[in-house]
Amino acid sequence: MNISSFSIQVLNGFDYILILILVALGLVIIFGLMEVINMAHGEFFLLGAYTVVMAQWAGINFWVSLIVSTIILGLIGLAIEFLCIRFLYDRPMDTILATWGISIGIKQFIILVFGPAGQMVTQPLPAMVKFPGIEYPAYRLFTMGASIVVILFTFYVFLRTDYGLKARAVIANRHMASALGINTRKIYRTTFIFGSALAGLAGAIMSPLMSVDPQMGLGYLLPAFMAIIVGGMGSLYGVLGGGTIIGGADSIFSYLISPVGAQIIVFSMAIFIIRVKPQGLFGRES
Amino acid sequence: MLKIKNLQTSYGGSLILQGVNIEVPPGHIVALMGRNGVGKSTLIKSIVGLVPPRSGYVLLDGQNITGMPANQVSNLGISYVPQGKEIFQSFTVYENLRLGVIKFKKKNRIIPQEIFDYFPVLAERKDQKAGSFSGGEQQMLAIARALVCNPKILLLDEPSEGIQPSIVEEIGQILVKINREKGITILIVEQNVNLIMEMAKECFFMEKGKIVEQSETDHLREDDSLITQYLAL
Repeated sequence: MNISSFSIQVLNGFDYILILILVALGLVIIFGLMEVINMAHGEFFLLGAYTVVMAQWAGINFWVSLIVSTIILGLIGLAIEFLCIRFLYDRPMDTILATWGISIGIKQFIILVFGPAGQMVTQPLPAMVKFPGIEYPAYRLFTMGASIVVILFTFYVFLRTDYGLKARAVIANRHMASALGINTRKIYRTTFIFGSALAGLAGAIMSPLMSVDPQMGLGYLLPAFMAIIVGGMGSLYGVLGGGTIIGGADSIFSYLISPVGAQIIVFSMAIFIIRVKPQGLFGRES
Repeated sequence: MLKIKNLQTSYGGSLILQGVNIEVPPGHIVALMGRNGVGKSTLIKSIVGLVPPRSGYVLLDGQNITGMPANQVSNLGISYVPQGKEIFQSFTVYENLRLGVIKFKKKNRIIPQEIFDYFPVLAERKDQKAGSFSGGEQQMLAIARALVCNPKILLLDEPSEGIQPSIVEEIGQILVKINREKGITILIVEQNVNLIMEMAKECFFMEKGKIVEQSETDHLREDDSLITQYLAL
């Protein structure tokens, strides 16, 4: 182990943590607000990446396609909320089944249209940035910066805007919120769109770094769920902590042992944490 | 102002409200009294749209609002202070008050300064978490949150519950002042006789899901037989 390869691993670890937090944030705002466990969230991530692939075929500039992906996934979120989710509020178990079905449907649709093989997205920023002792891909630095900006934006929206105040009021006390004139249905819809768009943006940002294939969503959905459970359900801050622990542990043990060994350790760790603190490390006891 | 006609509401399979008739004239303070479990809270929740009535009517200024969703009822000018206050504990006082005007269009979301004249304690502690307040202060916040949107009618569900007597008296005086100065009609559910005597002009008594008696509060001062019959244990 030398210093430069170690530094690169640390940076890669940060990159992974930030993307994981981005994916988990979308999941947690949807869960916290509507108690909908969205099993299709990984497929929103995947659709975000495939949108970039299609945009590339159509000759659309990569940076523009990031925005296009975010918008399209917001619209897909709107359609799914309108056609399916809105009938299932107050039925959490049914939403798991329904969104799982949507997840399978999207995956098969992608296989039918694009085939099971991976697609490549051309690296939009092939340059390397030189630091003392190491060189690091410029695009990975961009993904970190963009993730931080979007995470801060999400916190700003939920903690400082009127929409965020309404959404937090609905989370805290749905009946009182509606008695104050808040249209909870509208808040649910907006939030589902917001969460879907976040997943789409995360997938789009990651597309040049991964093989864009029908299974790519699952690789982020599972650790995102673990990050939420470890951090504490329904807590925005919990996602930051949970994402850092799960993403960090996975990166460290992948480097020290192997990716498979890391998965075993991360899963065991998650089970241990839930056993000791069922409400999660940063969750409030209700 | 508010007219309730033969309202029936069932809850968990049993008929809680068995045909309630009440009329609240504009500008009045009307009290609804009765023991625990006679259906007072269910009546209030049926009016504000949190529990759907089975039959009968709720009319606001002649408009039929029976079974309307809570957010629409609120938009028509009915404000609700629930039993147990239900303020947002982890939010600041300011955020709680802002939620009272959040149903308006963005440019009209203004917390009127006069609310702090009625409740000065809220002005001093605007940025504190509401959960750090005492029970009485939380009740004042719940009432202020219901009033910042300048409603036509204010519904209060047992505002004296769990609050020390001196604060209950203070809250009663403030409510009377608000009713006089702003002309806001009040329907108050209570078991605290002193508070009702201090505030209300007329009083309805409820038992087993029905209004069984109606009286001027002045009468109650001279003759407390209704109170012994419908409130005392």
